Amino acid sequence: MRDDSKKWDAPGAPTTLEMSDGLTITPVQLARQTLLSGVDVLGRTQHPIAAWSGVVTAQTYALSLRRDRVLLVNGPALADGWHGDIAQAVSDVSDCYSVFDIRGDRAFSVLKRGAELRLDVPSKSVARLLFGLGVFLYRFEATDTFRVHVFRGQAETFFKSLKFAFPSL
Amino acid sequence: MTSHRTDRAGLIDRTQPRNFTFDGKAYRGFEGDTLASALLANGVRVMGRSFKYHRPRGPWGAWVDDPNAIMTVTLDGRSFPNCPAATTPLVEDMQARAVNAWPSAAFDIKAGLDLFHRWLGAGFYYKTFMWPDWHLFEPMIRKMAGLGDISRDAPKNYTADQVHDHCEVLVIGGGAAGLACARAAAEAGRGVVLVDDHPIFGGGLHQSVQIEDRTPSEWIADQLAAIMGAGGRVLPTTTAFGVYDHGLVGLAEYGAFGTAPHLHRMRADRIVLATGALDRPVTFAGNDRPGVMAVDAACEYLARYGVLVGRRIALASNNSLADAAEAMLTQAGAKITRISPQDGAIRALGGKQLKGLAQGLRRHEVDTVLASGGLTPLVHLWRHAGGKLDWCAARQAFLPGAAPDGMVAIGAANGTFDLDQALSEARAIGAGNASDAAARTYSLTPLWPEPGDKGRQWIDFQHDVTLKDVELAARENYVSVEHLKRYTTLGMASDQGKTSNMAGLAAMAAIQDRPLPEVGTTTFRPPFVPVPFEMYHGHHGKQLWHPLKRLALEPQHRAAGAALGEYGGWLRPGWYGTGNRGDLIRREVLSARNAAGIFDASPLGKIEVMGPDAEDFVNFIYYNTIRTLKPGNIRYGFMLTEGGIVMDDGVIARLTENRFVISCSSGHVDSVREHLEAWRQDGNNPDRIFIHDLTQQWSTVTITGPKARDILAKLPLGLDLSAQAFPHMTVQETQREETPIRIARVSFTGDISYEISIRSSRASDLWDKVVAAGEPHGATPIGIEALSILRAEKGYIMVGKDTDGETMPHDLGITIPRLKKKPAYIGDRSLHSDKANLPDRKALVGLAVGDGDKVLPTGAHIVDGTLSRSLGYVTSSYDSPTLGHPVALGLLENGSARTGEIVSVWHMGETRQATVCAACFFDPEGERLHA
Amino acid sequence: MTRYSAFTVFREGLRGQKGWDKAWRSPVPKPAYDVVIIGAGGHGLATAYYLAKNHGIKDVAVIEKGWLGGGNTGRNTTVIRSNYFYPESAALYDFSVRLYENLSRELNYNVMFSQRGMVVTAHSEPEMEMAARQVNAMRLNGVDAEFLDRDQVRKLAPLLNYGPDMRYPIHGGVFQPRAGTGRHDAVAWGFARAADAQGVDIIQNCQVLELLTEGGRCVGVRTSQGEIRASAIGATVAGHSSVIADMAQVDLPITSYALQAFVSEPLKPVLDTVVLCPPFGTYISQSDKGGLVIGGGLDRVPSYGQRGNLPMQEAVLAGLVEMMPALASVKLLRHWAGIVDVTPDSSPIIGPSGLEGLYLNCGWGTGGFKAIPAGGYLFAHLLATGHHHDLSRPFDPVRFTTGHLIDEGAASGIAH
Repeated sequence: MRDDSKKWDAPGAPTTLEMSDGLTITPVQLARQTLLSGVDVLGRTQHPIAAWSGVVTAQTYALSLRRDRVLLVNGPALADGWHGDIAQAVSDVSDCYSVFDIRGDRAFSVLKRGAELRLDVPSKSVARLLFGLGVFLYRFEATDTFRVHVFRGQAETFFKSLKFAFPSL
Repeated sequence: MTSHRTDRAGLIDRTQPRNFTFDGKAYRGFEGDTLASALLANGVRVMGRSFKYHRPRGPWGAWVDDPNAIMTVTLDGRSFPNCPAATTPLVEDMQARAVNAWPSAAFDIKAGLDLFHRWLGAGFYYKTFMWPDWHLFEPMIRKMAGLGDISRDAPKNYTADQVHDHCEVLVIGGGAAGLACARAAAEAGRGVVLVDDHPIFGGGLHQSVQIEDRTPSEWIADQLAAIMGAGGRVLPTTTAFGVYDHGLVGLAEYGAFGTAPHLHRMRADRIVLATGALDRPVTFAGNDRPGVMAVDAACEYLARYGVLVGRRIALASNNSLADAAEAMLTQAGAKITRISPQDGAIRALGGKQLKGLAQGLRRHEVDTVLASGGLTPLVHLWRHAGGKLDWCAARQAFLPGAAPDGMVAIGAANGTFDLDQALSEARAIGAGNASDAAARTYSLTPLWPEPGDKGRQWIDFQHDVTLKDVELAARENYVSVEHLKRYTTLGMASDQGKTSNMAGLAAMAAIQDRPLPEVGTTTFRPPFVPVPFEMYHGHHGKQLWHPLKRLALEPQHRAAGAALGEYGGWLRPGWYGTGNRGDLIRREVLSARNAAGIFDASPLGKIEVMGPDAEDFVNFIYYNTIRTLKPGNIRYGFMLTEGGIVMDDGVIARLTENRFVISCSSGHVDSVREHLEAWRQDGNNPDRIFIHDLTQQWSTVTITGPKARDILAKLPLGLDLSAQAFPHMTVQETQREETPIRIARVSFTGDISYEISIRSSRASDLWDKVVAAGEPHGATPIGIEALSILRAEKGYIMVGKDTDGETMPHDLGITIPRLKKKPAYIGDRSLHSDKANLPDRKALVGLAVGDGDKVLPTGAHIVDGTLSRSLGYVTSSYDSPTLGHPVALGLLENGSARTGEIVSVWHMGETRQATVCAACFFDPEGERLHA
Repeated sequence: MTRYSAFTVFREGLRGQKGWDKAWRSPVPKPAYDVVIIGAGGHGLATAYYLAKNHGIKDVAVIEKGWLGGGNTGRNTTVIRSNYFYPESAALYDFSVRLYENLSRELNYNVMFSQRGMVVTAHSEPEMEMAARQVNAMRLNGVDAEFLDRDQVRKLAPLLNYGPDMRYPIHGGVFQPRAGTGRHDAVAWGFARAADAQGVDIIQNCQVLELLTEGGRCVGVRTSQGEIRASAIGATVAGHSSVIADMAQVDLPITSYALQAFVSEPLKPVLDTVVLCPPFGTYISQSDKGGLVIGGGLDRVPSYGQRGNLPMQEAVLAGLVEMMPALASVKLLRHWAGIVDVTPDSSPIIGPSGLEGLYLNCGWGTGGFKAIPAGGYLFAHLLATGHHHDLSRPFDPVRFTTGHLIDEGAASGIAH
């Protein structure tokens, strides 16, 4: 094979990126992310549920991914595996997804470079294809702040996509 | 000079001159000019040559309908081919050259071709150049054809922005109707986007003196202010180039010349088409001469650029719009002669320079002919969306009929050619009301090509299609409009028939004596005007084109001097260190065999299957029986397609009764996950099976080699690592500093191996500790290249390399489940087809070469004795550092029965010998594996 | 019929092109024919031609819903090649290439088969190994093939990106010198004219509404121009084969997809061969007129809509700009789509339909154009004799029962 080390930029350490116009991209360190799957897991979660395009304000919340699956953010520690008592599959995915906050007046414009998004069309799921990557996308704490969970192996690609999209604004 | 700049202000900025050249000569225009208007202002009329006959041509139109003035424009050293002069904004230092002409449009050495026109009619090339051979003629014909030439290097700073957008109402076209409609819709509270392809809104309004008691510029500014005041958005220099399914409109927004247009993927709830109408040419002898122009084009050149296209002008129009044009042009100083083309055949006089116009015996000494055969609404986008067209006899035009979902046409695009009616229609539609049909003042006398007329009458200017060509097509029975188009190439030029289609099909209708609407139209295809490829490309190139996944341990690998490469969608270490690649890889293999190799196996699949039906499900997914697997144990197996083909191999571990981990190949994780999710919902109970892809949660460091156990023992894990307590094909879970660690004893090398998995954020710590623990033993990191050799020595396959899309599990020696496994599994039925039962199936074999022989080339075929038939091929082949001789794997017909046979291996015409052997060269007894 | 030649072109030039005959007649359908072929695309017209020429069966009607050659024959990207892996495919497609090589002279119609060669690039060492496997297979199958290194590819296709930023650097490729392009309309027109000259009735604007059956046998068709009976009926209706199969109440293992195609504005010659770069999902050639003709993969969802859509356009054209960045500022003139019938192994179906009397020639997927002469030749053989020609036998639909698939995708090591 070839040595392509130089062709691919070495991933930088995750730091906050400050664009002009107050647009910032901030890596977020969450205490825990837990994937829960089970029948009616949405109806049975005790935590506020984040769906599109509402704004999450709680510190512990569940992302609605699909009919039978949520991602619990900052929830309690749970053992991995099948929990027969509650009929749910549980996995710690804290290291599976990298999380970014994209904040600023133009945050939504940047994201629209990567997907067909509409704030006025609600959706039960926060799963999106953004810049060609499967992500979870929702608003966190403020209407101009978008939080994204992306597979850790694709975080570099996601970051680069945002950086390329930004100068076009 | 016939055409010249007047003192009419127009929309140009005369304080800002712009210098440019055309065909090497220097000229000056102004900011706001187009290349065509600036050339006309300088008295230049011949701006191009036609495609086939190299006839001199001047602009027919003032905007997207001009088929004639096509130029290659060079700016800052970069050439842009095929720029239409009529829509190219003038920029300082532009160097323009007419395409398809040399040395210049004015004097083209190929002009002589026109003398042979009688032999070069429609489709002549289908009837000749067959003998002796087409290839003899083709190169010359290719050189003759084509328009502009391109720079062979990539343009710099030429990247399209691409954005998704949405609006409630998209108004396409910013003329009077579009502006009025957008304003009414915005004021009714709708989210409006208004686009127009000109830099300055207003469409043909600039030709007017007044509109609703305001000057055109004031009125336009009022509308724009009102639209934006009500929250609407306006996009000038933006072309709606196509309408696609579900209200998706492609918008190309142009910036400075030489930059890539931006793509807006606009999803519109409602689309209002206000695209206007075009003057269509009158078909008469010599109607392609420079100086023959559309009536509306002359008015636009005057209104927008202050350019009067001629001094003595014949105005040959069949419709009521000629009066206003006459008044406007007269006021600017032209002497107008009105001609009624319907009263008798007309004929342009002169050659490169127009000398006059004749009608019957009358000659008119004019320098310019303005022609209009009536207005043709621009309905391209309507047709893209699937809207129907209705023939309107009163207007002699196809008008929008049954509407596509969510689309409405207004103004001239809808056949509403009169301003007042257009405004009231636009406002009604904008406000969400129905438009009331109003009285019309537009009138015309039908005027269409007449077959049998004398002289050469042009239907398609750019492609040199004349009335005679249409007659020839009809004579030869190419009468369907599509046959007509394709046989004569009518309408296939770079203007896509904007000027030629109506004349062409009217000619065909007349020749066949059929009503015009019965002939029909050809399909309108996007884009409305040509758009650069880059617009579709944007930023997702280079590292963002099929971007690779990145390892948590990439910094460690880079620090260790790894050569990184693409393997199965990940950027992974191929080998470590600098120097001769082969030596480095060889050293890694030997260190793994003699001590241990340390390998980043993180991309290996870690897909968990959980739930009460998990056992049945994995048993169904796998070819092998998994049901009997005990918790803590691991089994190797195949996943098959429904066709019985091996799609992945790997190990599956059972952690608890209801929890399995599928460790599929690194490159197959996404496809296996989708495979599992699909089958979970098909014939299985999705409420009792759940699939979590945790591949990226965990990173995996593999230690493989005779010293693997000693190295692992140095990590304080508190495990009994003895072969009895921790045998091959088992898994152990433990913790270190409250971090879960999973250790699987499986091997892809044939040596004792441990795969240690830990959450990815702790992987670097684990890696460093393992490397440190390995160092005293002589263990080193190894890359994929070494691993590929290690596994080939042992005869372990790589699916997709050592198998192909026909390989079934029994071809790889795993025969029992096919014969014995009772419960259903994916692919089971296909394993019993005729083909599956053939004795001569290609099976996995080893291939040995004689002492001192070189490595067999991968991709070589194993052939039969007559060297005429392929029996199989070499799939993996290496010079084994461990064994000191080449090893190879291959697929071979009836391979399992051929052990010991000497076969011919054929590669690029050369034949060698090899001996078929078992597909395992290293430790066939498995002593090292189970140590 | 006036013979086409340099001489007649010269003569007709002198007399105002007045002496040319109709290329084909527009006959009224007779109530019965020996053979009725549904679909006047390339395959249907070629079948009629070879029925007349090879088997003396001239009482033939080809009926067409729209205008002849208006389906995929007039919508494809005109590539003709036989760079196949399996002997069955190689035999079929190379037979077609050989027929094409003499087709202009045989039909007396210049179909402009331009054997400018086709290169399929390889972008890594494993891809070079697969390329070697391919070249060896082609040569063993008797098909011309060359194994190219990077510099050889560069000579053939200098427009490709050879810079260090190339996402998939070019290592080499597989070249078939005898491959090339043809003028697609001319193939339909040439076969139509030659078939018509032998007495075949080509009936346009005639839609099949229903199959006529008697005693479980197909005996004709009811059309928009009335009933037409025949002793054998052949369907060559690429894109709508499942629709005809529905009428016959047989299930075909076919899914139909839109396949988009693109052409640029005409340029002076910049590309002298056909180039396919698999990792960019894009292939390109330059027409004699100068337009760059570009194709890519299928749309992702099944459809009968013969129109393009933006997402797939972006995928194909973005790939083009990645592989040939110099074309970034070249403009797209026109794009369109055809409907292709895809079988499970992406190989065609030639054989009986399951309804007696009705035969099928379909499932050519994206590659029907290059197979027109062979498809017509072999289908004519089947219709005339009721038996397969040796070359078409492997493509009988029975293979979907026996498992004898001919899966070229499989040969490339793609398990699927």
